[in-house]
Order: sequence, then C-alpha cells, then structure tokens
Amino acid sequence: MTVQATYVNLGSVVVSTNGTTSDIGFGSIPQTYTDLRLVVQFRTDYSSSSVAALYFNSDSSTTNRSDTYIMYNGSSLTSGRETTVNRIQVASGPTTPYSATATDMFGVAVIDILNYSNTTTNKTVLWRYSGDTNGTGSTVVGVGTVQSTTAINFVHIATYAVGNWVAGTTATLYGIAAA
Amino acid sequence: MSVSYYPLFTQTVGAGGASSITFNNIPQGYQDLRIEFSLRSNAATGAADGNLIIINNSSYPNSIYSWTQTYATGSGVGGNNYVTGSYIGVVTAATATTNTFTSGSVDIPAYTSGVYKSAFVDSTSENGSGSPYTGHFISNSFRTTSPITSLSILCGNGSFVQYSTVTLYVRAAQYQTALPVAPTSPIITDQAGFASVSFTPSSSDNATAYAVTDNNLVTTYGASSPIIAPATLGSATTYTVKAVNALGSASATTTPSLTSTNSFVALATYVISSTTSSVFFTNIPQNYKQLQIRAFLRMASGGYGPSIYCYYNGDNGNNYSNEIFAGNGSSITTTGYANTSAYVYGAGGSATGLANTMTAVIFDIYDYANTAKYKTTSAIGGWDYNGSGYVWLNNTAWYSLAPITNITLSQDGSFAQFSHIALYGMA
Repeated sequence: MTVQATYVNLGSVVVSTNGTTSDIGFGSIPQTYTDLRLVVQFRTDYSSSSVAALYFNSDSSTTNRSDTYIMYNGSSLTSGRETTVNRIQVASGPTTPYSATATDMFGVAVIDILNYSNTTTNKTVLWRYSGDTNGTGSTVVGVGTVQSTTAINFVHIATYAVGNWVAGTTATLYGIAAA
Repeated sequence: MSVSYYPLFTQTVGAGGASSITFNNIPQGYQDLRIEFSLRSNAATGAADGNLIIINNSSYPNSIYSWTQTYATGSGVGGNNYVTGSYIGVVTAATATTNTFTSGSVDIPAYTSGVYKSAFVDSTSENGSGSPYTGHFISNSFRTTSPITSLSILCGNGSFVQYSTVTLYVRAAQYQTALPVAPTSPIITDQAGFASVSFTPSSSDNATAYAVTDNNLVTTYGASSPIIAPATLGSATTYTVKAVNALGSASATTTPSLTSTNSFVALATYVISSTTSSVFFTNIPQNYKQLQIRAFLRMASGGYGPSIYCYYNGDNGNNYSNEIFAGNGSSITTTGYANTSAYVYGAGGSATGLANTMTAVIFDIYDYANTAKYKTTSAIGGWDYNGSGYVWLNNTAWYSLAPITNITLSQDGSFAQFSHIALYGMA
C-alpha cells in the first residue's frame, strides 16, 4: 500500500471583530484532493433564532440544493428536509447559539463534502452539528445534495439573511486525499 | 560456526487468550519457513477442531486453500480432505488433562517462490490420560504465486489459552560463512505515521534480509531499501538499519531523530469504473489507532433502499450486532440487529434515484488492531434526492478479538460506475 500525507489544512478563518462578518468563504480550492472537511465553530449576534447555511461556487441564487436531516432540540426528535433551495442548512432554530443564549457558547459543525472535484456526479454532503446553550441545545445529523456536476472550488458558510458571526467564530477547511 | 536455521520470533499468548497469532512482514531473503507450535484452546471440549493457517491476510474460506490428511486416534486411523480451507489439526482444549498442549510444526518450503506453496503439518495431541487423541499428518496446498509475507494461526473453536506459543523459524538455502556487511547512508523520511528508511546496501554484503530497529526496540524487516517502519507521533524516534544473515547482523549508523506529526494516512482506494459487486482492503497495516472509510456510492441496479454491508477478516458469520438511527425527512426509526451475519449500514441510494446522485458514508473503525477488545465501528451516511432522502447513524460491534487485517465492503446489487471508496489510517 502507498503511504502518503493526506489530511491537509487548506485555510483557517477566525472572526476577530463583532458586527462585520456574515459570511466566511474559502475560494480557489485546490482540485487535487478527494474530499473536503469544513469544521466550523460559530455564534451569531442576531437577537433571535439563526441559521448557518452552506453555499457553493459563488452561486447563491441557484436552487439546486436539498437536504434531509435528523434534529433533536432537547425535547423533541424530528426528521425534516429542504427541497429546491439555494443552500444546505447546517443548523437552525432557537437552539443555535445567538445573542440571547448563554454568553460565549458556540455551536460546532463538521461538514464533509465528498468527491468535490469530480465532474461526473452531483455532490453529496454529510454533516453533524451540535450546539448546547445550557438548558437548550440541539444536535443535527444531515445529508445534502448539490445537483451539479461542476467541481466545487468555493465553499462558504453564512448566517442566513440576518446577523453576523461574532468574534471567536472559526472555520477551517481541510483537504483529504485518497491513495 | 555456520548457521542456516534460526528463529525469527516467538509469540506467547498472555492471560487474556488470543483467537489468532500473526506474523507480518516476514523477511523474503530465506529459502524455507518453519513454524513450531504449542497450543491449547479454552473451548469446552477435550479437543478443539478447525484450527487453521492463513497466509498473506487472505479472506477465509478461500479457493486458494485445500488439505489432505492422515490421522490416528489411538484406536484407529483415517484420512480425509477438504477444499477452500487450511488445517493444522485439533488442539487440546478445556476438558483435556490440565497443562497438556498440542505440539506440532508446519514446514513451508520455497515460501518466496512464484509457484504454488505447500505446507506439511505434523502434530500430536496425546494428553497422558490414555484416552484416544489425535496425531495428524496434513498436506496443505496454498495456490498462490505470491510470496508469503504474513502468516496467521487461527483457533477454530474458542481461543488459544495463556502459554500457548508459536515460533517462526527461517532456513537459508546454504550455510552462511561470513557475517553481513553493514549498509550505509541511512536517510529517514516522515510518511505520516510511518518512517521511510532508505539506505545503500554494501557491495557483496552477504545479507539475506535487512531490518530497521527503532529506539523503542520495534524491528521491521524488508528485502531492500527503503523499509517502511512505524513512527510514534509526537515522539522523537531514531532508526538503525541492519544487514542480517544467519550468522548475525551489522548495523549502519543510527539516523537522526524524527518527530512525526502527520496522523491521517491514505492507505488504499477503489475507484469503480464498471459495475463491481464488492471491494476488498487487504494487508491493512496494524500500527494505526483507527481506520476510516470514506465512501461515495451508488447502486448499479435495483430499487429503493439497498443495504450496505461491511465485514472484517472474511467473517460473514453471526458475529456482529448493530443499532441504526435514521430519518427520512418526516419520521425517525431506530433498529437493532443481534447476532447478524454481516452488519447492515442502513439504506444506500438506489439505482433508480435522482440521476448522478451518490450515497455518502463515513465509517470509523476504532482500535482495529487490538487483540483484547471486540471491535466497534460508528458510521454516518445518507443520500438526498430533493424530495426524498435518508440519513443515518450506525454503531456496530464485531465480536472478535482478532486484529482487523482485511475489510470487505458490498451492498445489495453492485457498486455503480463513479463509486469511490477510500481507506485511511489514523495514527
């Protein structure tokens, strides 16, 4: 078996100032890896429930994305989906850390984008999210599809429509290369 | 003194018992192999049957194996044969006289040759009680042209008990008359959980093999440069290269220390270019803490909800259990399977689903090389067809203490073109 270095940090972003950043993006992604993994720790400054949304390829208007998820919010367990939308909704609802929830608490999402550079199939995304806000919180596991055979060269995660990421929000993109 | 026959290594079973005993990275510079064993099983019987030998971490049963034997029970003699299996005879077990172990040997001539291999087994299980026990003369055939690089002795019923031992010997084709000459210019390269140690053999060095020993006294053999040796992450490690023959060894200068920081290693990948029923990962290195499989799959035929199967070391018996927690966009299901033959990772995407859309699955296989634990695997997977979809979490146990050396992955129907399955080691 070939042995080679595999798991490479492609870039990290740390939000250092409040009120300025609603969107964290990674562009010009090398097409030499097999999968991408995006690890995000986030909190918004919005005064109500918020959404963390994943976008691809500077193409926020195309509604060729969809997802299916399981979410537990501390009291109920549900499975839901979004169809024909322009993003993959990684986390949402009142249990996502926002300005009214306990200070300094952040949610964490680990997002895997498989075979992102291939040009023959749609792209499949798996993710896990957990956000605990001391008395409330949620865990999510989901799968999403981007109906496009175009290679992914730009990934960004944004608050949906309102609010900004607070200082201390971090995002790191890794490339994972197969043998 | 001339020496042409000497022990490479002895493995002795500890207090916890062991279901198998394995020798990996067997040096290729000798003529023959010989195994001498002293074995006893904890099975609740007088004699445990079904004990066998596996080469090169192959799956089992397997059409490369067959055997024929003559045996004596003390009251009679007989003979039989079998295909798709190997055999080393019965071993004493729990109700046999205390402290009696079966003794035997296995001779494998020309183990590096490009022809099929034969192995002759001679064993006896006399237990001193006068009750009839069995002696065996067994001829095994291993129909592979590949050199033998690893050997495993597997207990067919129960596990080998403490103090069971297996020693691997090598025989050179002719007597060595001179000590080996040390190689030169060792160079070390970090290869993510491994160190690649390259060196220059000396001219006419009389070596039959080379070895790399690190400062933790872990030795890895090889036939030539480079030798890939384990590296301890975050810990300064040095390596000494040796030329080895039957008379002894000669060491090169020790390398500078290496502190490896990489921890995620790509081991092997299947890119499916045409319909394929299953994939096999074999000879999995044993020095990682965890394995991860990242799979991008689609079924080649059939309808909704094909299952994905993943099993270890060729074991498709009822030795698994699993729990599945899944959602389909509107409802939640939880399902448990006990004593299942091959564990089921929920539903995979179907051949008739949204065109070009693939199921994604990530398996994490924990402590896969441990010989004192059953193996635990967790997985996340799913597919989404813009209006239908399925996402799941799955936990699985494999009730075996054997280290995982090979993995089979399949699904109902077959893997379609553009499926992509990659195996990684995590140090």
